[in-house]
Amino acid sequence: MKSNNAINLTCIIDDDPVFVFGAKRIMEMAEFCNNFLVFQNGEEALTNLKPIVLSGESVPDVILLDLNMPIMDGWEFLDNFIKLETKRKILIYIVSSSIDPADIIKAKSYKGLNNFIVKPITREVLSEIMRDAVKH
Amino acid sequence: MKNVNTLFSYDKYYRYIRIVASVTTGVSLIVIWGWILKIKLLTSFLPDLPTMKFNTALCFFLVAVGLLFKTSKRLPRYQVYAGIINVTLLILAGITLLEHITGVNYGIDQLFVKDYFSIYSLPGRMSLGTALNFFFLGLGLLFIECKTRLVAQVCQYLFHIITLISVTSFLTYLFGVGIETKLEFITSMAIHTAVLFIALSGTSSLIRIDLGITSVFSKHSIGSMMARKLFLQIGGMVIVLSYLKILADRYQFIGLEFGTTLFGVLFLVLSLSLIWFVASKLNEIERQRQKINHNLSIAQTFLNSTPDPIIIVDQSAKIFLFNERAEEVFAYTEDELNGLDLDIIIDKRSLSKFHKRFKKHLVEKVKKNKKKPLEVKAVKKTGEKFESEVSFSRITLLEGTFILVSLKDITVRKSYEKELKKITKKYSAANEAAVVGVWEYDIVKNYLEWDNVMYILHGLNKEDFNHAYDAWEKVLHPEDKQRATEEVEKALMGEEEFDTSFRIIKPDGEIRHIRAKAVVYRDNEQHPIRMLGTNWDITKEKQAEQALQNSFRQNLIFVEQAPSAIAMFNRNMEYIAASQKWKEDYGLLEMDILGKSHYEIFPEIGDEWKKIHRECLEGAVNVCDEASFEREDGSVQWISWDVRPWYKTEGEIGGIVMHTANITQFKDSVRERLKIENILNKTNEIARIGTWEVDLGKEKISWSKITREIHEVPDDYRPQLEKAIDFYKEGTSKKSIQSAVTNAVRSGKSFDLELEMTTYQGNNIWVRSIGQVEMFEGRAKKLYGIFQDITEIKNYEISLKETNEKLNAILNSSYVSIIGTDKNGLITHFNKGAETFLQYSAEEMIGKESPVIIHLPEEIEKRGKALSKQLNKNIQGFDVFVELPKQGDYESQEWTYVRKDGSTFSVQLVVTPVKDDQGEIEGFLGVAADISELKNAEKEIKSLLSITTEQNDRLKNFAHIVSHNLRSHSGNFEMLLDVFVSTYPEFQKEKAIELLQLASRNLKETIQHLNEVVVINTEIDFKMENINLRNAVKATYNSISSLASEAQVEIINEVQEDALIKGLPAYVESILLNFITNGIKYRSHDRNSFVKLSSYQQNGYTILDVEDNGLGIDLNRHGDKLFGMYKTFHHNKDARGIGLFITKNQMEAIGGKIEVESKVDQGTNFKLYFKN
Repeated sequence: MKSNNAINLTCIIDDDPVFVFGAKRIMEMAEFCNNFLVFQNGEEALTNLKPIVLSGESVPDVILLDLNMPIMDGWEFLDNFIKLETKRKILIYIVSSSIDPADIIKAKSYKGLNNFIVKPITREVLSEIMRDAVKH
Repeated sequence: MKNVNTLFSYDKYYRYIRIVASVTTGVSLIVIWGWILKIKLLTSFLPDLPTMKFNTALCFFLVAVGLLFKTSKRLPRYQVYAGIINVTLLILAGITLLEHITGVNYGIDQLFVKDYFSIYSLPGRMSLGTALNFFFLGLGLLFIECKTRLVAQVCQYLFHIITLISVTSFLTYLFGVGIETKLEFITSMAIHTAVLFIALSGTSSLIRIDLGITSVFSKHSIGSMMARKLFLQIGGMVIVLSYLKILADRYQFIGLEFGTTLFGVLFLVLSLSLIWFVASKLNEIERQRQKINHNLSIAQTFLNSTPDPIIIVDQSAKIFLFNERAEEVFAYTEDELNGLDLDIIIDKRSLSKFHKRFKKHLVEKVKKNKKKPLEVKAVKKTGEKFESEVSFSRITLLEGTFILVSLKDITVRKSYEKELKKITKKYSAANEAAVVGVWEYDIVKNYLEWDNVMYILHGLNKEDFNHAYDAWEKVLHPEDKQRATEEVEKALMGEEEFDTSFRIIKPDGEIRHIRAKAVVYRDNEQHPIRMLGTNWDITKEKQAEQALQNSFRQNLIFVEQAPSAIAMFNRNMEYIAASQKWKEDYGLLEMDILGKSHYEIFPEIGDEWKKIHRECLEGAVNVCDEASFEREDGSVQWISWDVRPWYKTEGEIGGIVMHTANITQFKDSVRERLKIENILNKTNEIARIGTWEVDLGKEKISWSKITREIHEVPDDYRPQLEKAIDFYKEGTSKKSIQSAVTNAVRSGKSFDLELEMTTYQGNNIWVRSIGQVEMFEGRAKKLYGIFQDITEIKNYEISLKETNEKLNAILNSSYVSIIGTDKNGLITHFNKGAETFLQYSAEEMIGKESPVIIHLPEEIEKRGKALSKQLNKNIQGFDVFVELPKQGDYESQEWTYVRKDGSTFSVQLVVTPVKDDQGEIEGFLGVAADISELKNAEKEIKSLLSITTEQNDRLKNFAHIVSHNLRSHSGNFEMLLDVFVSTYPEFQKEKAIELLQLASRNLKETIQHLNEVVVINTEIDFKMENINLRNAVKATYNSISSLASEAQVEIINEVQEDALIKGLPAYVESILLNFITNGIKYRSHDRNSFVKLSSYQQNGYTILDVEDNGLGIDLNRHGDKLFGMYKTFHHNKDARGIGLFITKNQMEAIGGKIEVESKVDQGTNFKLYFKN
């Protein structure tokens, strides 16, 4: 199942294997994307993504980022990741189960962030992301 | 025309009553006499007729005497006698009546005499009719004059009944007929009894002629007249006819039926003729009356249209009639004029001649033209007098002789007469004065012709005058001769008119001024032939002119020499004269001002002054006592002036005189004095100091304005010596003023008292009264003094005292430690509280120790270091307590006090500097309160706070768990289900999967709600903003308008434009949304629904009223759980039971509250209290 859309690679940063599994499946089923990069926490993601982004090869089109993670949480990851100079624009979505207004407000303060998605992820949300991706 | 007397009077009829009563007395006495002497004839009047019983006679006697008393108005007690007699009569008649009715003999019948003659079975008893009549008569006489008209009317008819009964009885005697046995009681009445009853009842009905049948007869009207005339005649006729019929019946001349018919016909014919006769007579009377009325109205019109007052008086000169003009002229009212003595309106000085003439007219008719009209002074009610011409005429009327007096106001005529006299006098005088002589000079003949006046003018005799021109020249004054002759020549030459004046010398040497005018006649060749002229004496004028000139000159001199500033101007406002002072005052010394215009010299004179000058030239006088002028240098000059015209001759204004004075100095001193007086008055007023004075001789007390004001008495209040003392309060105040006054009067001792009193208005005040005595020859003559309202001072004093007492109480209280020190820290005061707190006694501390010993040394040191650092100087020991108070007012600080036994406790110590009058610090006062308990409480609060904080943190934690972890799991759950169903579509229809999906959704929702609540409860730090409620409602409405219109619910926003509340915008939005959607959700489908939002302010809240007419909530059932979580009250599928719970929490989070009123199926009204 090869999709002809703009999204080739999606990076999921989440410590919850259930979510990762579900999200992957939904994305596959929705023909959103078939290639995934999965990291357990912010630090792991940062370590691995840094060379990729810098090299400019196999750079993910979309990053789905959880906030609450061990070792390095989503915010810290964001703070660091934004500093990297990316050659391509990467769509970053926070995907969290937090509906704390404080989190939402904080998310808005990041320029590079595209949206704040409240879990669970659904097909409707995916198609929205796809529309965003096509625009870019 | 006004009728003065009423001719209507009851008394007139009393005469008849008295005659009848007298006759009755006689008859009754005769009968009584008959009974006593046993002479039957006297008792029955005619032999064989029923006797008048003794009791009947007695009753008649009583009635008659009663009537005599009643009609006699001589003494008031006669009326009482009449009453007593009537009551006796009533009793007597009443008993007899009772005997008749009951058939029992009470023994009254023969109580007085035995009935020797009776042929009846009841000896001595008067007949039933008689008894009844007496009873009625007695009753009637007793109440006939009753004020209640109805009662009097009844009495009158009682009289009429008596008349009826007795007439019937009388007629039976007259006709000699028997009476039906049923009416037998009437027949047994003796004939004279019947007659007397007729007479008595008839006359008794005259007592009140305005009542009953009598009233018909007694009036003057034509109807009464007819009644009077017809009644007697018809009555008589009926009696005669009846008798004739009886005779006819008795002797059977004609048949009974025919007889009755004949009787009827005869009755008709006779009554008709009688009526015709009477009516024609009455018509005649009526015609005459109309004629009289007509004449009367003519007379009345005439009298009232007469321009002069006309008064008709009787012989004794009492006013009887008068016209309206009389009322007007004399200014009396109609009532006042009635019966007034004519003398009142005639001036006393005119009275004798007026009386003389009046009497003459009274005796005989005097012919009008025979006498000169009488002129008298008439007097109005106002006392004003006027000349009037009086004419009399005699009128003879039925009532006697009257005099018509006409009083014509001749004031105007009189004044004309006077004026005329004056003019005539003047005229004749003028004639004598204006003596003009006429002369004619024949030039050709040189003949001078003089008339008589010329001779008189020149004082010459005709014989001494030779008629030549020279003769005239001779009389001329030598100084005028040449000029006069020249003028004559000029006139003759035709160069000038001859119009000149000159002096002549009379033979006796007197010099006279003559004015002469002449006309020259010429012949055809223009040669003068004749000169015709007039001369008259103008010496007086000339002299007057001379005198005027002299006086004018004198005036000028006077003006110039006057010591004050005076200037005299002619009509052109040019200086004629000016005093030295004037020149000095106005800086004109160096100038020659005479003949120069005032305005030319002072061009700056304003229009205002020019106007005054003009007015004065017209005759006005302008005087000003003082007016201020500001000079160029700013000083104020006070000027008084007097500007008035001066007269050349009488009526001719020659110019004006101005007199000015500089009164600045005088003015200043007056002002100074006024200022001082004013200040004094003001001072008195402000200080509320009044004065009073008691004149002991006259026993008079007087109060000044302020004294009156202090007493608060009304303006018209007059203080009295005895009452003045009553203003003081009973007890000490009254006693002390009384004794002070007594002492002062006795020994001349002055007093100064502070007293309490109650003012006229009832206010309690304190006053200070100082009294002095003025002694005269060892006796007090006057008491005077001042009076001051010291209520405020006194109140201060009292409150000061109270405060002092309170302060003392505080100082000595054992709850506060108060320690006073001197400047250096030596204890000067150690109160009970300090003793209790610190276990030291005052003796141990005062004058011996410093507060340092009750403090912890380390605290003093610590504080000392802090202060040293703060103030940048070394502070230690006692100074740590007082260094700051020395600079500021006081210092409050927590300290630890050390007791004598070494134990400690916390105090809050306030140190205050104590200052003397000059503001110098004398010492310090340390007030300490034990705050150990406070300290403990503080500790407790702190621990509580930490617990609360901890709990709050835990709650936050919990919130986090809910918010995140729980949600992640639920999210995963949902997602996995989604994946599962997508992967295995065949399970889509499996019930269990369907239910699992439902459970997942519900779980998610629940977590969301929980989260919302937790967020509300934990977020304390949010920022409240000012929100315009109306706009918020509008925004909310916009977001749900489609929902509302779909549900056909009208949302009415009546929130005030400026309703500002404090809140979190998101919350407020949520709250509004919740209530409005609730209103829509729980609408009633039975009616047009609405949700109305309005607002108002109350007790610091802005209250939003959300009112709907929806389903309503049964508050009795659900009231307590209305705002609980997961409570629903309707079977609405959307109802989740979370809205109100969240809303309530949100409201509380922003400091508000919710109240609700609701009725099932009527609607709900939520009141949302927002902080504003």
